[in-house]
Amino acid sequence: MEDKQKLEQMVNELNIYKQQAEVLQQQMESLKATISEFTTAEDTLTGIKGKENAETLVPIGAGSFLITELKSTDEVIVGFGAGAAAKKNITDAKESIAQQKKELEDAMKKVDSNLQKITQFIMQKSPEAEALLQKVESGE
Amino acid sequence: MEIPQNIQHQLTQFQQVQQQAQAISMQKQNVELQIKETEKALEELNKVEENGEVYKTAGNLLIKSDKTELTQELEDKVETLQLREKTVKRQEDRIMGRLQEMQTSLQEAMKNAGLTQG
Repeated sequence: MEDKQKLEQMVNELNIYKQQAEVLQQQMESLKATISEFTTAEDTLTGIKGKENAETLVPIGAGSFLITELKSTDEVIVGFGAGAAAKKNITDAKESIAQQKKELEDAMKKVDSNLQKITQFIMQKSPEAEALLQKVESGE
Repeated sequence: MEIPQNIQHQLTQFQQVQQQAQAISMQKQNVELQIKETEKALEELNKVEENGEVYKTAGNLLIKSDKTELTQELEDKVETLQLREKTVKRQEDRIMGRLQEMQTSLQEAMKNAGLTQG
């Protein structure tokens, strides 16, 4: 009886940790996607340098593009979140994007470290639970 | 071992309240995130020069806006969100208290029915 209860407790605990690991995994994916967006923005800002009046294609979804001309390569509009944005020169915009990207990368490191800890715990506890399950089953 | 019906009923209720508590915690987290985001936007907005061009989003569009107006708008938003945060916190405290009471009563009932862990 005692082993059975211990096993139940371990299984519950493992399930909770597994759920947490899934949530952290989702957070990692979402952070990765956002970081990749920031990298695209950085690459774009670097790529437009000296390309004033160049013909560009702006994606509008469904694999379709508008044909446009670059009006300015000195300034861009940068979003701050909460529905606010402002015009910045390319240097400031790059700096702002790099800073936000670094914050995201730091957050991802923290999430990754927590995920590692939880995964390690699950890997350690799972064989214990397995052994206990066998013990309980053979005792019945 | 068969669980008595009254305990089963209490357990179901406990799980329902637990789900409600989780939903409220998520709401609180969401409001807290929005506050942080808005405060960060205000911080960035304050760095913009007085005659600098600012925009606010309207769906997929960016609309040119007045810096003072946009700042005021975001400050109001923070205020509203902080009020909402207080309300959600109160709700969370209430539901956590209820959950605690239910847990105590459930443990008591299980003890009386001889279902406690040894």
